[in-house]
Amino acid sequence: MKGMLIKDFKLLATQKRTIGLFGMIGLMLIVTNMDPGFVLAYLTFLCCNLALSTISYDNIDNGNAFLFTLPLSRRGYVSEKYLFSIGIGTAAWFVSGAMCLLIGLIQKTGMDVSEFVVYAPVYLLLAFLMAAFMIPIQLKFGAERARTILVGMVGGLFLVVVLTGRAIKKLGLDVEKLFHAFGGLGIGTILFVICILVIGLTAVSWRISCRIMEKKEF
Amino acid sequence: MEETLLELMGFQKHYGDFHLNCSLKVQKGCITGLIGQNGAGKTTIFKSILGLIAGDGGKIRILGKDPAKLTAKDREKTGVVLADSGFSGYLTVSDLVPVMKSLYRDFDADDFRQKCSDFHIPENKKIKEFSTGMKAKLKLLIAMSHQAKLLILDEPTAGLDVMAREGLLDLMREYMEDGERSILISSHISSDLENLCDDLYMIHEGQILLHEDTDVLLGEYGVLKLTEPEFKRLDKQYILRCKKEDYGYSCLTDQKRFYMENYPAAAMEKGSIDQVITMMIRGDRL
Repeated sequence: MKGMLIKDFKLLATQKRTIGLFGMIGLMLIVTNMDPGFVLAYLTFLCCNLALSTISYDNIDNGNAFLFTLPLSRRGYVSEKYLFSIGIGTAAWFVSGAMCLLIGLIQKTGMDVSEFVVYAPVYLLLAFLMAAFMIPIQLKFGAERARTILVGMVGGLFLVVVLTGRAIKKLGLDVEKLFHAFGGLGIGTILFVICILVIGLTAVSWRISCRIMEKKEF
Repeated sequence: MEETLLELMGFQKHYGDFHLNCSLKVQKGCITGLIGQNGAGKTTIFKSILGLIAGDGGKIRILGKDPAKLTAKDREKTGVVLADSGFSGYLTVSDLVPVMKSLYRDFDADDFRQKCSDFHIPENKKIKEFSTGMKAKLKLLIAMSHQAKLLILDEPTAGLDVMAREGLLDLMREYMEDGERSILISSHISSDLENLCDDLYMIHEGQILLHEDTDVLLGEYGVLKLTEPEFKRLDKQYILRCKKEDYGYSCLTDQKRFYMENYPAAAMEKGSIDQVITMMIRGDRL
């Protein structure tokens, strides 16, 4: 797995200009008093996405066929993709979080540091969730088709949200009461629940990805 | 007893109208060639051996195991060149060194770098910017860089000029010097295999037409050129295939001496690989 991680770092390094550009945009957003939560989410998601792009690099010119002749199991390959995207996402989250805090404190923008620190992990967990969602789709369909499928899925999700809203209205459920009940749990508990949920979904996603790769022919 | 590093036993794979049915062996210390036209099934055999595609019947044993059960440690003992696949073109040779070092315990970085330099392969240029020849050389050098016991080389000399091909063939010969290693190589350039392989398999439309030691093939096989009356009088017990020609018949035999001694007037051509393939494919059985 170490060899594949090095390969992916080298591939990522070929995109250093794009990473630099993302960093510059992030820096500009912070300096111009953009919501630090947005900047943090923006940089974490973008970098996590860049890490996922190594799957398409592996696909180019049927490269996967050769990769699976190397001393590497298909499960190992899948695990490396999760580890790499989570690792890069975490690194981007740390750097952009530190940047937001530092510039916020230097510029004295009145940034609510405690609120930022409390909500920051949610963005990281959401980035993990995106990786867990995207990896099996990319492995199964390749980058091009994955994009089309993603658009379809976002549309589907929107439809589900709308339909759920209508159903709640029709059933006469008190949503506000439900949110209040969650609020009573405390931020620590909510974060813990989200964390467990993300870990569980990532494990399911990993299992699906393994099955996809084990069945795939090159 | 000879050690078999790779064996296909009645291996089958079906794609629509294409049916592969193949039995093949690669012995320790031998270079075995697989020759056939484009689309004959060579790449399908290689991909099956490497576990990249699943079979529909029969068995494959590579280093004594089913390809699907090869561990990472087993795979360290194989070196692979695939005609249509390799490391990402966005990487450079310098990028590959630490990758290979982490993947293979026996990877010799200094030797690899030296060989890249000997073959004029640039270290810091992206692979996608390499010429076809440079890419082919790099693929072979990678396969040979970690002391693999078995090299599986699918069309390693495709797209190369004569000099570059000779250079790579010399590398393979050098690699085989310790007598412990084996190579399975495919090509549609018969002269490459003629001068390199110990034995040859000829494949056509998914079927193995012929398996023979290269020395036997070049020494004992011949093509008789006969007029119609000569053909009628011919003892045909050692004729493998015959083909109607304008002048009469051409006949492929694996007992060249028998016919040279008993029919000294008949014209006999040395059996080159190309001639044998053509006769095996286009000729008729008697």
